[in-house]
Amino acid sequence: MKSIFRSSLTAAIVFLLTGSTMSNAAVRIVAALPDLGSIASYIGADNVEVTSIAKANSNPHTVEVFPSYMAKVSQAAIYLKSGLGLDQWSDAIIDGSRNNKIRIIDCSNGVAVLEKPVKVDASMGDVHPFGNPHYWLDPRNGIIIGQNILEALKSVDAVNASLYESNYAKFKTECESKFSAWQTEMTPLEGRKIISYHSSWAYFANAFQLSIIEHIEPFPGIPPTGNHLARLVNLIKKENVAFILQEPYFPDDAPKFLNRQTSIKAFKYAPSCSDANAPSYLNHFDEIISSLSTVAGDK
Amino acid sequence: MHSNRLHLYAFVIVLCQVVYWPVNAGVVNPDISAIGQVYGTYTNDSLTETHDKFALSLGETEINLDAALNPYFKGAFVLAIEGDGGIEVEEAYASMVRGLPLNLALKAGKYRLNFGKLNQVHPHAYPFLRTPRVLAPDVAKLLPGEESFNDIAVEASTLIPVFGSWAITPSADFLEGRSYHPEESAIAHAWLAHVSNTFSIDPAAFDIGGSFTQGINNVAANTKTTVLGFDAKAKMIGSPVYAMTFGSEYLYKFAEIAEIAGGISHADRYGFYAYINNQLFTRYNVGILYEQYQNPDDNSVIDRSIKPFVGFAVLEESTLLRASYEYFLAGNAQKTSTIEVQLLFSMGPHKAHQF
Repeated sequence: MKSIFRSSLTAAIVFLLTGSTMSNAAVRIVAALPDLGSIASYIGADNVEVTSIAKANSNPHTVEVFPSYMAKVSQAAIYLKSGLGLDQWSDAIIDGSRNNKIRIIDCSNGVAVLEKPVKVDASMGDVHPFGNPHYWLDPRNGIIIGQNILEALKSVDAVNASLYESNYAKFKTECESKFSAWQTEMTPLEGRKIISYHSSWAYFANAFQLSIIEHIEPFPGIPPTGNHLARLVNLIKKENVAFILQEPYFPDDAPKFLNRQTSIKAFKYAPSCSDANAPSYLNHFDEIISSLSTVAGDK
Repeated sequence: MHSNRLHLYAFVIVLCQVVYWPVNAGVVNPDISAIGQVYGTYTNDSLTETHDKFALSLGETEINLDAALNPYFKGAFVLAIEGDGGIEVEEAYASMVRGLPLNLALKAGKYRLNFGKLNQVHPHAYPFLRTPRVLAPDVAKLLPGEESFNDIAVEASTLIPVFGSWAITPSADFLEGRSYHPEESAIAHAWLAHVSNTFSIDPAAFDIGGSFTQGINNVAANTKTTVLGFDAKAKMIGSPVYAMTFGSEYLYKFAEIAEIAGGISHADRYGFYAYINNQLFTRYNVGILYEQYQNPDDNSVIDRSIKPFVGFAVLEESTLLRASYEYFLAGNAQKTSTIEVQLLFSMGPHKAHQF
């Protein structure tokens, strides 16, 4: 009886310490954003088990650190950081996970960073000192993210390197061909002036030749004032602004006010894809672009 | 001869590292933040000097410094400057966050101890104004210490992933023990254990924990104080612009008291608080806090407090305007009302919000 109790106790301790419910074969990856996770799922295919921290429709600047995230990271082989100061919460999660062996990949490595400030202080709002961090919204940067993930996968799972290489090549080809199709779809909007709520859409605008002439936030992270909205009303009328791009986690009052004053439409899109599954990253662009292309007729 | 040369090489390598280290250390500054608080208070509590008058006061100013010391260690200092200018080192500790087996982490120094949920958190990070009475050692007298349960200690903790999002985090602290007997110069050590269970069921996250601490409240008489605590916290994210948090702690204190006439008596008391906080558009919050505890001077008297609160981030989280109304009932006899307004401002990096 005693020995049964002792072996059950030992088994329970081993179970707790190893988290044995997770599948053993897969390379476990935790991604700060679903977009990074989706690309990792594409390249890693069945060899990876990917989870992402930030939710598609929540503000990626302010993710609350839950201990359950640390538990996930404690068992992961790779952590995909968004970088450029966006996901400072990732450091708290990684530290809390106590994972000594995890490989931390900054997916912004190699990206041509936009809006890099010369000088930063809080009077300029929540400006990111390393530049605009929403780089995954340019599909060409998706390829760079993929390259970073590929290198990480090859280093932790060298046996399957050729599979990862071939999946990455497939992802790159699909991304390039889709980008070309999206560019065609967006041609009628080329050069059109737009307004975005926050500076999340700088890379997207750059990729599809849209011109962001103002933001609803007077400074990054700072809510709009009456004066600023009055100025936007004049600007929209004067510059024939095509539409507003809005993130779902900001209040609707300001876009609705601008709509009442100028009839401008606001398009609400999450700046991240819905989940970390393989098709998600590219589908997200499909959805945004097919919806935005309807504006072309309103020109 | 060969061995001498090896020693020389080794010495040069060590010397190079010693010289190299301070050069690098000077390059990396710690994150520095300063948090200020201005209070406006109106109370009809006749025991307060400023009763029936609107009083303005400068609350505690907090200076935080923290940085990685190297890839394995982190260090932090929290200096508290009282409104009257007195400076106290509230926290000063180093923690080893990685490099140890079995997901172990170590922490040593002076710090707010891991008892329950709120004691470790500085009051400016609570969704309401002021520390709950139940957790304030100088009010309900359930926890050891003065303003918080804080001591010089060494802590070991680990993280045990169970399955899915469920993780168990046990920790154990060995305390210098002065928080139990602040008036005495003699030392008698104390200890603390805490375990928390965290898990998520989308879109909600939960944390359920238990704490146990024991120390000597009178070194000469060797009388003990034991405090048991149970804590629960849940957060439900309703939409991208709405979240609701529930938090509660129940404390039970067993205290042996050395009587002047000789002999030992027992004073066992309980206390608990519960709050609900609603967060809207990240800039607004509204909620209510309820507390109940046995009066520290008379166990038969139950003190109760109910406190609705609101908060508003003027632009973003670095400038907060908060207000609360507290109705306090001391044993059904003394009833007081207090209205407080607080301006909280912080400069420095925006840190990650911990659950």
